[in-house]
Amino acid sequence: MQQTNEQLYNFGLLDEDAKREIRRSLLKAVAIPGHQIPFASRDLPIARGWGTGGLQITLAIITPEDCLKVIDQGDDAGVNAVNLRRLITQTTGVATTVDSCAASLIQTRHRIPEEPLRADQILVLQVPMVDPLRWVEPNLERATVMHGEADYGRMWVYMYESVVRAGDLRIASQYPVMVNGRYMMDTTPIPRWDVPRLDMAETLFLFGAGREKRIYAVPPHTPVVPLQFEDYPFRTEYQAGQRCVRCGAEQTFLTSHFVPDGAGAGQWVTSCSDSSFCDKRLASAEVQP
Amino acid sequence: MIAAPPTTQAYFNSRTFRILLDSLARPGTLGRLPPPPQGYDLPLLPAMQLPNHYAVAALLSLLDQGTSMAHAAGGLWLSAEHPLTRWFTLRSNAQVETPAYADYVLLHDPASAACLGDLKRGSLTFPEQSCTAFLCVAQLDEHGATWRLAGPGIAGSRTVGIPGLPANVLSVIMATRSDFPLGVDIFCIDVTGACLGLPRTTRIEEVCS
Repeated sequence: MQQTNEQLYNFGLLDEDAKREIRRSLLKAVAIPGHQIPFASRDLPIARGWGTGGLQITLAIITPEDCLKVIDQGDDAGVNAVNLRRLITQTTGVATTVDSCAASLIQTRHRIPEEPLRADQILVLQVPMVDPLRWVEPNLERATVMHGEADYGRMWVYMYESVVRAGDLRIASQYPVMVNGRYMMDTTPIPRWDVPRLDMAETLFLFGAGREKRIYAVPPHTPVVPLQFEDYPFRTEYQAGQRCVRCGAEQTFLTSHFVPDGAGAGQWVTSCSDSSFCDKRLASAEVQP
Repeated sequence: MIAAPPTTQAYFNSRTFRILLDSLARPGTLGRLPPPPQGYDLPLLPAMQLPNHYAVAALLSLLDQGTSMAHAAGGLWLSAEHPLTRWFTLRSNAQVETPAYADYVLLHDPASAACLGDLKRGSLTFPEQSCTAFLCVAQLDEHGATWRLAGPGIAGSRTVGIPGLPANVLSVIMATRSDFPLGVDIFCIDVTGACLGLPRTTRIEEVCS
């Protein structure tokens, strides 16, 4: 009886009208790179703010042939990733993988996988904060008009003021970029490390914000330029001498965590944020020491 | 829980969408639309007047009660009483709209490309409230060189062959996208189901031979 009821779900959970509406928004998003398209964000069995924007895009574009990867902060085993993956596979039956190279569709929160993505892959990003102008114009209607008129002067003043106050462009994530020389876009929620990898990429990037009901996109081979000043250029988090304690990688985005030594003390260590990439490196190192 | 497989129509719609999305993200790279599923019983019209069934199926995959449409053949907009208009509205629930307000249009032949100038281009605040046009063409050739394309989605530039277009089509298309971010997004679809996406960001020029 249980099974019969659950089979009543449509493939991909969303009904076909909802999928069509999201698909139409996605086509316009690709046609106007970096512009935020409003869409009717549906209620899902996951609360808004937990990746429902990315989830709705994934459910609207997924086909039975897809091979899915879901990551949270670069980690395939994060709570958010595990739950979203379970919901998607239970309502579609698609194959899943942790290998970035084997996936045709990757849904992600906070990271672009370290391995270069290909033209036949689509990266879907879960977006918490949509509008970079939020910092300087909290009123959504006025911010929409500012985007329409490419009126970004106040954002440049904000950047300048952050340099004057802090001596640096103090932005950790959601770094603002100009897409195709026209629209200012929030790269939320990826770290600065991943921002240059949006520029002239091979892959299509789709951004979905469920709580704020917006969809936007960066097509492949599209210029994405971070906001910066000549004397205060954009910088990633890279630090000379950085190294992953597990695989020894030096050119990856690292996260730090505290390892207690059992005697009440301990130390901070850094390891790759992209767990699948790190595991792959470890495995190949074990085969060929 | 057991996932129900998609119905034939839902599966077709999802496959078609992925091709449309990819064609629009990579202008100049031709997508191959899947053949329409059974049941596309086009109305009884003389064979000459029947539109390209790949384009019809692709358009129908996006239409529902929340959208509006119009269509043109031979350079003229077809009326709401035209048998094909009724056929479309019956299957999609889409509203028939005057061309200047339609969300989606089907242009049955290259001659109707002149009608692209009549379509809505959105506003500065809402550039997405613009028309998407499906233009039926006789043939698309990835290795041909009628047009040279450049812009987002294209590494450098690409050429594409579209033989048999009327001479003024390019100037009509470029006029609709002279004022980015406003513009009309176009899918060209040929009789074999090859699909060329021309988003408003694509710059097109004639290849001098």
